[in-house]
Amino acid sequence: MGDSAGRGNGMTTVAGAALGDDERAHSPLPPAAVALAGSALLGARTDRYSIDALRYDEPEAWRSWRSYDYGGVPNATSWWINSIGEITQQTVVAPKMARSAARTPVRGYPPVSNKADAASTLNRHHETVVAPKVARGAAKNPVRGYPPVSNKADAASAPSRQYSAQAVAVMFAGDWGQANFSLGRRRRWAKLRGYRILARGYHRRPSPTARIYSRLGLIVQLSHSPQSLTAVAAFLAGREREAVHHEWRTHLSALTDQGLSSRDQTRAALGFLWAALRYRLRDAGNLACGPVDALLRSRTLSNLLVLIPTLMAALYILRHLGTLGVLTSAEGISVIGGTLYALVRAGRWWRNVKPPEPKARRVKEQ
Amino acid sequence: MSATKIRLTAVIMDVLDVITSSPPDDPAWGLRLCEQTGYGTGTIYPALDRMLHAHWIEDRWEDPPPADRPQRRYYTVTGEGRAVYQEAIAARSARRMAWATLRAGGTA
Repeated sequence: MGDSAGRGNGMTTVAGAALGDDERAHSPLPPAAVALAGSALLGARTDRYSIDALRYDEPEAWRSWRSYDYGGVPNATSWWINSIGEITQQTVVAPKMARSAARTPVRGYPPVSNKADAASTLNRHHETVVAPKVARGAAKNPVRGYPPVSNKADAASAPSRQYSAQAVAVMFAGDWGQANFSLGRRRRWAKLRGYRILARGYHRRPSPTARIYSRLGLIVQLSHSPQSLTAVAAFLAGREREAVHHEWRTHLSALTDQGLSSRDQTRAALGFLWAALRYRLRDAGNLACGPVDALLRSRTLSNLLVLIPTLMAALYILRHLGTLGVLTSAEGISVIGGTLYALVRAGRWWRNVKPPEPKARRVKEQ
Repeated sequence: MSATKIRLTAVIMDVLDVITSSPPDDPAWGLRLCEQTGYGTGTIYPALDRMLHAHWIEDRWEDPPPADRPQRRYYTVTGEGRAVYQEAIAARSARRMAWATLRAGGTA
């Protein structure tokens, strides 16, 4: 435990060697198989956990789930597949809650350390977990061969409330990927690339809302942070637009890189929400316009739409006023027909549909 | 997925302006489109979505993923989109020319 983490001066080192490109290239399993293995493993747990990360398509996406699915035991567990195809798991406990968690170990998971706040390493597959307290030190002393640690990890993972403890931080796995993940109860997001970030906000007991969210698959708790708004917007956009979630997070991340304020990011996130609503409105509109489009696209149906009300009006007048009445009301009847015809044409223009061209009359050969 | 037809609004034209003028080695992506067109995210992304559905543009993820930032989703214009765009540009210039001629004739 902690054998690979330097302490005392706040500096973190990693004993586990990262896998090089050559090793990655000679991975014993193809990416699809790796993804399949991961999915199977995760699938076995789906009855118990809501796995939001399954929405990610990338085979290298790491998988994780929320801590409150453990019935309140404060920890963060992730499964992922490393670059040589091994499935690895990691459980980290929030520093403040470590003692209580140690008393209540999660069955089937590696024993948790009650010194997680210093640094914890399971050291099974060369992963090192750096606790928030040393994140800053790690940022100042980047580990050779790894991307620099963002010093925002420390701020992002700082406990925000009394009952919100954050385990965790950065895991140097030496293989793929970047991850933006929420840290803490308020779902702040840390942007740390090249690392696995395991972080959770924990409640002493899972709140009813958290349970509902978990069951619905809406893992994100509503809050005012741009990242949470973005996650909600992505949820609203629907599963068929999964890509926008990553895209929008990239957008927000770039705003952060540009040094824009939180207000600007919130404005962008509100834009994402508006975009998601527009997506949905357009989808609903397209769904509702299906029959209308069919009517406008069909020459027969369009003609019937014009002719039937016009003829009914003419018949009504004929019945009550006779032929003379029809003649005297011809102007009104033609207005009805003309209006309906104009509506059909306007609808075709608006919906950008055209009826099929009438078949050319066959010219009989002489 | 069948291509849907969309209208050439000012937003669509502005977005197409930026996408077509982006060099192939540095294609347009969401934030840049917002910055260069001046529209907000709530306008740009639905427009991109419409154009994607109309097959006027196509998207791809940055490959290989950079180590120091998240992958970007790049947009490039398709042949159909370019044809529509050029047609619209031609129509716009014709309109402007006609308007200029009209104005010149009116003031003369």
